[in-house]
Amino acid sequence: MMQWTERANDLWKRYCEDVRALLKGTEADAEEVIEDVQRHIEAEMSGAGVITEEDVRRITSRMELSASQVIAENREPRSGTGKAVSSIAWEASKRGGRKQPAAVIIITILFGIMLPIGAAAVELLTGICAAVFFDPLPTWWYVLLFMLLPASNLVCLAVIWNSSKEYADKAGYLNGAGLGAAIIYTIMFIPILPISALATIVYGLGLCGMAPLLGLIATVLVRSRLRHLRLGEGTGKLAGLWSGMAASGVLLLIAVLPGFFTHLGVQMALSESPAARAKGVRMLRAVGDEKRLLEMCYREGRGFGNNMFYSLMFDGSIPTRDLRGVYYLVTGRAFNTMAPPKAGFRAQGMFEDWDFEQGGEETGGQMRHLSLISSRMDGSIDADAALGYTEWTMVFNNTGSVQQEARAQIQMPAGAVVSRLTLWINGEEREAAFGSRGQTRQAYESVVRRQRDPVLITTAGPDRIMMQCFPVPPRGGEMKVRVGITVPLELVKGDEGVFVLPYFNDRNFKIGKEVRHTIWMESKRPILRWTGVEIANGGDDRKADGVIRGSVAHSALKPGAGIVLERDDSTARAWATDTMAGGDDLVIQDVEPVLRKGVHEVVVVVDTSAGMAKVIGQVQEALSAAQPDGGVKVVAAGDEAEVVADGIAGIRNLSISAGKDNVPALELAWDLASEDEGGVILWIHGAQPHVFKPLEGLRQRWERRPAGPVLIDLQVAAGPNKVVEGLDGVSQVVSLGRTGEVGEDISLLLRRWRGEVPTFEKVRRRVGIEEKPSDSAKETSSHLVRLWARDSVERMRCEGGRENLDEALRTAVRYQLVTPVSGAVVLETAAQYKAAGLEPVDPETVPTIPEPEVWALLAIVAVVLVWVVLKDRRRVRIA
Amino acid sequence: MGELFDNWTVQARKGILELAVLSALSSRERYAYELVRLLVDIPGLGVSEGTIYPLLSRLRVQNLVAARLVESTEGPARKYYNLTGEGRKTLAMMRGYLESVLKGVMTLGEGKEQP
Repeated sequence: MMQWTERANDLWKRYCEDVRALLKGTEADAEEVIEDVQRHIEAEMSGAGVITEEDVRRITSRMELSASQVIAENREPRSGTGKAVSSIAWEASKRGGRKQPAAVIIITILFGIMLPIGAAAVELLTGICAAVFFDPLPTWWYVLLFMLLPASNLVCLAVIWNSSKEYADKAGYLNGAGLGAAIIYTIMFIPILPISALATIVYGLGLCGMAPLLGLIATVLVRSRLRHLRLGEGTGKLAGLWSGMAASGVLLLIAVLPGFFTHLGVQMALSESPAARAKGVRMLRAVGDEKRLLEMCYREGRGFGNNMFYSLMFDGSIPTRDLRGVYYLVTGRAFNTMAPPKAGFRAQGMFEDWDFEQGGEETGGQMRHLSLISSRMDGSIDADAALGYTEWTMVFNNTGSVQQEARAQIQMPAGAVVSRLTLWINGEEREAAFGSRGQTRQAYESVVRRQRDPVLITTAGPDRIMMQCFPVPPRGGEMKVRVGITVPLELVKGDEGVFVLPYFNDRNFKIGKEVRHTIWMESKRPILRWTGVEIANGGDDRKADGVIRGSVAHSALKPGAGIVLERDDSTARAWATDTMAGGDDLVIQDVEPVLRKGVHEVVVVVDTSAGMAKVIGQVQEALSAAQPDGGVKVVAAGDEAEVVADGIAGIRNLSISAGKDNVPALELAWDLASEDEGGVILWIHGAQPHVFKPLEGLRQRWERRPAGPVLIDLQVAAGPNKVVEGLDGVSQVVSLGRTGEVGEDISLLLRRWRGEVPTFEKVRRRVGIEEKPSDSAKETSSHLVRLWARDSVERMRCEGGRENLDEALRTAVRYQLVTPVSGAVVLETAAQYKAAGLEPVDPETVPTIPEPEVWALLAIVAVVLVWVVLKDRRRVRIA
Repeated sequence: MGELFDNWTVQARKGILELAVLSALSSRERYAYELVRLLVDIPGLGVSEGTIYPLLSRLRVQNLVAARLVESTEGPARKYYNLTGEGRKTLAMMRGYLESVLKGVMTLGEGKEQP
């Protein structure tokens, strides 16, 4: 076997190419001729051992393949000079100018390999097409399908370049697959081809949109060269066209099918027919693509429109809100408890920082670059007066490239009210203005539009507030806000009060695992323990002094998390001077233990969604242990509402999974509970992030029967509750104040209903100075006044009527409270306040920690100390 | 004038080359390289080494010659060509045709008319 140098090989390959081209159209077998010439060279050089480039050039030049003499009897010489065609071609090849192959190679490299790879990379990194038109690469399967195009061209080009005739057939199959992929994507891109072409011509941009078409052209050329390599001028066909295309078709099916079932399921789940809806949800639970569904939830306003195949097959006009409802039904979770899904390297591409719900009233999806990086709760508690005050200070950070709005729904303790809102602007604290709900929101939205510094708090259903802060500056910028909440204590026993901690129900920012909420609470009474929450470094040794300092994990802030304090059972009355109304009136609170035995029948509605899985055992045990005298009916809120035949015993057999619409079960429960006077509905449920139809059915029941059954809302886990939000203003709907684990709270409630333990009712009223309580009553802070004002606003709102509502608003603004009729907003400048018709509160009137009374005490102590020191000095001087 | 002659020789060589190859193989089989060296030495035939190979390939495709590879101790395997039956018939026809044509053409110069 002779050895050929590398350069000799290169030259030989080029020569072979020319021979093939030259013998095109003749009866001679080009490959045979090539073999013969090679044998000739090796025979001639047999003594040399190594064949060099020069040897190849010398011998092949000598044996010029003269067309004029031998190539074909039907071919005439090209010129009268008789110069051999082969000679021209060969000389050209020696200069590297093989024209036709070179053109094919350049086209293939540029449009068949580089452009498709570049287009895919741009799309994966930026998601620009997905954001503007449709998503061409929604999953890795699609990426694989598209990459068949450049990959096949790359391999086939290598085969052509090396004249590897033996691989030509195999390359033909790969080329067929690449051709299939190119055709699929060319069809997909047809609608935007004109735009791409125009953009390319006018701006020099837009080639990516043309990548499939140009790739298709290149792939066809490659096939032609492959065919020539394999068959010369013969009339046969190159293998692999149909089978290769079929392979890419199969890949397309694999890519499309999970999404197909998902989209079909969604379409059915949102159809008019209840049977189809149920089938659709079942299909999605069984074979739906959860990630795809989540992606659709995050693509605000796009429905199916971001996928060409699905938008061709399905109606693409489905509102994102409905898709989010379907996501809940399928998974049992609110969509925004999950981060936006990634598709390859990108989240939602270059538009991932776009917040479609900015300035709106919905929390919306999680923003990838927005996070809570610091959280602290400071509080002071007056256990004897059964109230406390906490300030929750939060710092948000935005690592994205555009300004972001942080939004969160905060669950407050039952009966609590927001009484302070502070924003740090350029390091300075700015207090909020309180005004009507509409007025504050309008001021906020107007400033958000101008991208300045506001923060807004409004209520979002009973004991829930919506907080919106804008803008959290981009590129690592921070925004710091503080929410002050006046909290009534939950009294489990006469000598114990529980300070329930607020927590997030819903948010559009991340909270890293490393973030802990630092807590510093102080009370004049000893702290007994904490419930439902583990406070690290809580300082057990300081509990007796009424101090808790420590931190809690974010996951620990949930319903039932609180601090249990000792209180003086004999302090039945507390009072405070109402300085905020500008007079000497007092607000008095009486804590009255009431033993109740009026509950005849309880209808328990048990949500069967996944959020109940951890507590369903506790629920069943607690209900079994202390059944109300009037008996219990259990309604299961499943895919359909139904009465559980076995009652409480049947709870264990309920299938707990996915998400369930609880409204039909609540309607059924209302009908059952209203059969008896004094009926009560106890609704035990997980998060309810979606309402699937207007709540008019329920509202109508209570509006027509205002004294109808009381609905006690017991939510077992943090999360939004759109049903309760929708029933805001219905006085018969009340939240159960959580003070411990679900089972404990149910037991306590049932024992109260059975009359075994009292309910401690806090009755607050405003009286004149002449009714000043006796010395045994406890004087407390102005938070008592705020709690009374909150009660008043609530009462007037429920009574309705223009006058009542106006008075409710005046009361809320006077006492600086966020209520259903009022909001709080911090603006940046006095001009903005003036434009909005608002006035920020006097910093002297806002609640603080320690309480003003404590500051006053400290001031008195300081004055006394100064007096003592001065007196001592005088005494020394005299001496 | 020179150009006319060049063109004429090209036309003349076209058919003669095939006849020459078939004739060279009529006595015994020859390997390609040997055949090339034999024909290259014929003056006026004006054949280059490279011209022979496409021609042999075409003749093989047309079933006028057959080829076989024989291992060689002196170098690479040799490809031996020989005439097929069809090749022999064609050779005979070519020779007969050429002889009669040449004979007729030559007599024109000697002033003898064809009957």
